Amino acid sequence: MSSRRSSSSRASTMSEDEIITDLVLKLQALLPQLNPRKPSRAQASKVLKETCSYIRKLEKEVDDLSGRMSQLLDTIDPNNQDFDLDSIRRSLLQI
Amino acid sequence: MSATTEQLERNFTHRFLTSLRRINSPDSKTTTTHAAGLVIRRRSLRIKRAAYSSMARAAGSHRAWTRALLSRARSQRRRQQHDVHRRRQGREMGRAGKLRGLVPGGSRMEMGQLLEETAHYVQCLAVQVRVMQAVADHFSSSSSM
Repeated sequence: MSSRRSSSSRASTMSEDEIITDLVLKLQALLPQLNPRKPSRAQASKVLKETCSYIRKLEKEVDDLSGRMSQLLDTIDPNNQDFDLDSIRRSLLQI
Repeated sequence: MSATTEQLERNFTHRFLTSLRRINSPDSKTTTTHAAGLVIRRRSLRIKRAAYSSMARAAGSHRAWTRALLSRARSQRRRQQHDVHRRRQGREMGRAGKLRGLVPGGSRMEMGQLLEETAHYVQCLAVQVRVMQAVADHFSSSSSM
């Protein structure tokens, strides 16, 4: 886990990182259980359900952010000072 | 963040910003006879499409979900549809039916591949959201100056 995130004020993103790691580990852990052994059906179903909820949540965020960005594009300078990759990458590092 | 995730983030950010520049260029703006709300809504769909396509390209064609997403976008462009991410029913209901409907190309995958593609898709979606958040925050702080 990136240590720079621990000093961030955006606690929600830090826990999302943990959620992702958790889901990924769990999904990977499911793979060996596809053999004829008896896996815990309840556990696997729960992970599948959580994964679906998480995907839907992320997709909704994409929708919301697209809407917000569309409104914001009216407010910025089309001379593209605001499309500066380095400024945005600096913002990313602070998340 | 791992090195590959950083690279993905850089790659996606670059492609996405390039698309945004194009979407925001004066030549692409529709006439002002359209209601402002409609312009904003249409542009929001273009931005969303650009986000998913940019991520699929940044993630690379060795993934089945990226190929499925880009091919769906191409066929929808031909049919003049707007929503590149329209939900489809998973053809096989089973326990993973809903998941198959959510992951691009999921209905054609066998279980092992589906889970692996899902894990990758989720990681990429999270990067996509994180970058879009940073871009939106950057624009909003720029405009308040």
